[in-house]
Amino acid sequence: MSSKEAYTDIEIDVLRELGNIGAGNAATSLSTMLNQTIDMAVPVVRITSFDDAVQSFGGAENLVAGVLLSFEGLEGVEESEGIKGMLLFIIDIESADDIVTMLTGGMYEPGSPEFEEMKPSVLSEIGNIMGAAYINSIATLTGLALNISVPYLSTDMVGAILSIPIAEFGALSDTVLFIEESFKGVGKDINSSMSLFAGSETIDIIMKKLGIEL
Amino acid sequence: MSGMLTVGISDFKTSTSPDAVFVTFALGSCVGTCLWDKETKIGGLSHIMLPYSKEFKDFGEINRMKFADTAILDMFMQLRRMGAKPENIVAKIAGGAQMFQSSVGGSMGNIGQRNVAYVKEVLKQLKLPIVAEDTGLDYGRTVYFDNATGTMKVQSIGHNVKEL
Repeated sequence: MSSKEAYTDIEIDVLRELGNIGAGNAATSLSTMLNQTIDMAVPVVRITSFDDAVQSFGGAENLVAGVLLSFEGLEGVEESEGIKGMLLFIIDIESADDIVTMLTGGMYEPGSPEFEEMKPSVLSEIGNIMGAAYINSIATLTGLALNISVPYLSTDMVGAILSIPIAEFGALSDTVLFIEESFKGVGKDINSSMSLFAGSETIDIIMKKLGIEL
Repeated sequence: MSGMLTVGISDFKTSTSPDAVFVTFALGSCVGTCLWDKETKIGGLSHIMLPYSKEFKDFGEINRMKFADTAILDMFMQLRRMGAKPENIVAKIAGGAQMFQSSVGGSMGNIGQRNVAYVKEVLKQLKLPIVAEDTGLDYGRTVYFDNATGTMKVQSIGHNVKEL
């Protein structure tokens, strides 16, 4: 295991392309679920200090909903073993209400007890479907065998939410690497993003698998 | 606010000034530890992310402020150098939440619990009493620590502000 803070331009390009493909598929699944056009920007590969990572999500106390999924290489499959990453779907609170309303056909008013009771499982399922689309496309592209966890939800300050991937991947260095992709609804505001977090060991495996000589 | 000292992630700050107010934002699984000499009003706030630096000792230089074992020891030594007396120092801690839950039951990881357990272990080894605590559960916390009064204020979403 090594900790590294510097990646070559080629590695960054490859990571951006991975994010583009993964998030593209995630956006398509979101668009299908909502029957709505979703715009996405060019993904950004960030290698930043922990505090700057939090700033890039609107500051520590920004209130959001987050769905977290972890993934890992299938054990026993030689070249996939050792892969470890997390996907984090972040959506601002108003957009979260909008998205749940759209998906449930406006059955309940946001804020009503029925709505609030249903919201966690609906948001978890959205994150789950998008995360699976993301990871499956990366698995197909790289030929890696990847396992994905069930979705976990937290509605809280984004700094507190980010403490989980940062603690997982920030042990060895004082930076964290993630590929961030933001989504916007066309017509309706759906401010959300999906980020892939991984350690340098995982990135090395992916590069090798894609035949990128370092 | 004048004299506000912001403590980042994997960071600690100390001060001899009674006007100092420390703040660390949005602790999730991380733990905030306030140490304060109640006589001289010399105090500090640390924000650790992981319990135990020794797990990573084979991987080269580490940031000592990131881990409970090294951060709290270093902050304690710094307070002593600034004139705090060990027998007067008390500790207050907050954070260490389990942030993520599954809608079908269960939660992700136990890093918050491990952080709290290890912070307590280090404080015990240093013989520093924990006089206030707001840890665990499933929500994030912003912590303010007032060097004049030794009050730890904990703010979170959907919960009342606590003054401890």
